[in-house]
Amino acid sequence: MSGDDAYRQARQLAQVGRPADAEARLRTALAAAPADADLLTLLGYVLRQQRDYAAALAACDAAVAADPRLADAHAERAESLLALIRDRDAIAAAGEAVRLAPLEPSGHLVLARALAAGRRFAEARACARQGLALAPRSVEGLLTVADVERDAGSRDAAEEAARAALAIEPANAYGRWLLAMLDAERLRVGRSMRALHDMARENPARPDVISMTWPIRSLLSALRRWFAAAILLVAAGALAARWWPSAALGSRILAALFAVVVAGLALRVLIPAGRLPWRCLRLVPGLLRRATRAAMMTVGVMVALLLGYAVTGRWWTAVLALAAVPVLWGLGLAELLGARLDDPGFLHALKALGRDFRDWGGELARWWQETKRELRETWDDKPPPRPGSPR
Amino acid sequence: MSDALIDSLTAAVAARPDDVALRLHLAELLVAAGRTGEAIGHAAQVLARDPANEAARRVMTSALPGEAPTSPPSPSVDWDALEGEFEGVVPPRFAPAGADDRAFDVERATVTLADVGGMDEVKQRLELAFLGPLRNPRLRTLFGKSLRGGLLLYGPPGCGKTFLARAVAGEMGAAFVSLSIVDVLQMWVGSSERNLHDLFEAARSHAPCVLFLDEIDALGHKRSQLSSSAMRTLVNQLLTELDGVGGGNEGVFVLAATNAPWDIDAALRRPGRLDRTVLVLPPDATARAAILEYHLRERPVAGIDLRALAAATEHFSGADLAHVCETAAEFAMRDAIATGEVRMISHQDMTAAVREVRPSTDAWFATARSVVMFGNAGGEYDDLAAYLRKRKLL
Repeated sequence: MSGDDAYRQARQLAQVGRPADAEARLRTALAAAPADADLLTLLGYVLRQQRDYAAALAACDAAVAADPRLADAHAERAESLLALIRDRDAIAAAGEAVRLAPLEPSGHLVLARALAAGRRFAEARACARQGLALAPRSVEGLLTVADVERDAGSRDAAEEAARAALAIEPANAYGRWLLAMLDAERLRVGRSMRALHDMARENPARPDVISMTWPIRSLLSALRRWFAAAILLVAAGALAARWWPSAALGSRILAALFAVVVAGLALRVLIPAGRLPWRCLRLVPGLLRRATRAAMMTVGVMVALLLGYAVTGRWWTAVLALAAVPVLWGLGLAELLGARLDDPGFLHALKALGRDFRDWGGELARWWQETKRELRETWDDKPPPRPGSPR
Repeated sequence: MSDALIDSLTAAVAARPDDVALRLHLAELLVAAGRTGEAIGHAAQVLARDPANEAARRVMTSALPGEAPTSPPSPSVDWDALEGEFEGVVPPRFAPAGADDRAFDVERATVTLADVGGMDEVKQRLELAFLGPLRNPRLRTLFGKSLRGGLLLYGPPGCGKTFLARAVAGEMGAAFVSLSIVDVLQMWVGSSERNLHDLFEAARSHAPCVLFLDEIDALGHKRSQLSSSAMRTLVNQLLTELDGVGGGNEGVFVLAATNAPWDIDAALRRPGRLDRTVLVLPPDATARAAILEYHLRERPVAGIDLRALAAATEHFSGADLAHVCETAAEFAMRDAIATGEVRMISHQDMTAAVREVRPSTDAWFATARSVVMFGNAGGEYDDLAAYLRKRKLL
């Protein structure tokens, strides 16, 4: 079988959801032609499909080494680096792809995503527009523009681009997801949940259950910020009232008001969402599920404590509510980890960060040892005896 | 010397009569046990196969009461040379595209549903949905039921869907043609549609014939998810062939199997195509015992409690059970290497292997749970939903 046949077959196998078979086919072909850059690039792609990002990067590295002028290899390498959350390297790789093939839209698009991941939104926007200008009817181009605009906080521009993409390809799953998420950010709860539910029905084996829990998680995320500040204010008022009693009434009214606002916000978000987010919560990774449930319970307890303070005026209830704030933040961190722990790229990045910390700790320990030694030597350094002085 | 070990080795030798080393080992054990008559028989068979075998001669000498007979020299077979001679002669499964003498691998299935251990529910469903109407033409006529349409077997991987398909073909006494996406891509470079048509023609000409489409989710993937026009055309051609345009599919029974029915193009499951589905679940206790017995049949075993093992391997697929037997054999062999004494595969080896091997069906059921939650509005996965509820997974 020729390399071309293997390449074509592997592409088709990858397309029909058989990346492992595609990988096997490519590896067989590569045994005969180990320096075939096209085969190596496709191998990088099918490994990325299987979420083996480190192996995908290794394949792309080999492809780049085999043919440094192959723009596709650099672009695929940038995709792997993006998955491994190595934004700076991804920008460099995508930049090289653009340099080698400036008229190829895909290079500009991956560069735009890499720049957006590095929070360089102005450049990302320019790159995405450049890619789209090279292929104006490209759904991928329009969705990249939408993605970059969303990351940059321009929801209108993002929605416009996503709608343009869906006008060309109405069934595009990513475009529909993007639109649903934009609706979520604008608190169009019902519409967003309906869209996500429809997508799950069409592809029931791979439902995006984490996205479908957004009403619960967004509510918690909002509460973690302003509710913490509100409780701090109430607790400060409650403590102040011990020495300045006229502060008590104000802080109790504030406590009742904040409790009512939290309850109102929860009703505003959770009622239109229906049962779906709660059903999906059962399907999300364990840590995320437990952290979310615990955070909801913590918020419930905090609201009860605020109401308790509003009704009874006992200062310690407000202080207890304040003490629950770090718990809520801790659970938020657990939620964040839980949502991404099944992402091998995130885990890889986490391990790399751990290694960096260990190295840094090692360097710090070495520095401290040396400093201690130098200090000791300096301390032990006695001035040379003056001539004629007794020893 | 343990008689149980000798009996087990005797059974193993009976199953693999050409295994010279095993037969020789048995002969040595027989000599040690004083059963020289049987030892002579086995040593003689070894010498007939390998006249220069020194160990066999020694066994023969020690087993015979008098002088060892000298066996006539016979030329030994150079298997390597023979294999080399035949290399490349074996024809490909499918002839390359464009060849006039295009030949398809039409088999005769020798297994029947009686060979499938346990799985009574599946067999009953196959009987009702497929085999019953075939066997009862009068009833068919009475109820105006046509034989159009095929049967889709779905379920977790390694649970015997392919074996069941062969058993159905055997039950019908029909020819059996199997096809998978790998065959399509490997053999049919550039003219997949024409070859798919030829395959159906071959099945029609061998009627009654069971045409088995393995991994149908790849061959008939949802067209909306395919960007390659070649693959979309292939799905279209498959639909046309299933409809039997221009000749009909009289006598061609299409069976398909998949682990991912949710990835199949909806058009393939419309009436007249793959319109009947049977869920093939992990084997039940009876089937598990039968599978374990099958995989242990050629191995030296002692004191195995199949019923207890079957109870301990709930949710294991057939492939997992094979892996359990393999692992247990590895434990016993490792022990034999370490101690220098051959021993039987014991129940302890099997239970240790069961502890080591995890059921591979869990990931499939996690996906199935999502499918039932989100994709069962039409009720096509009701049987799966019932099973998941029974297992408290839903």
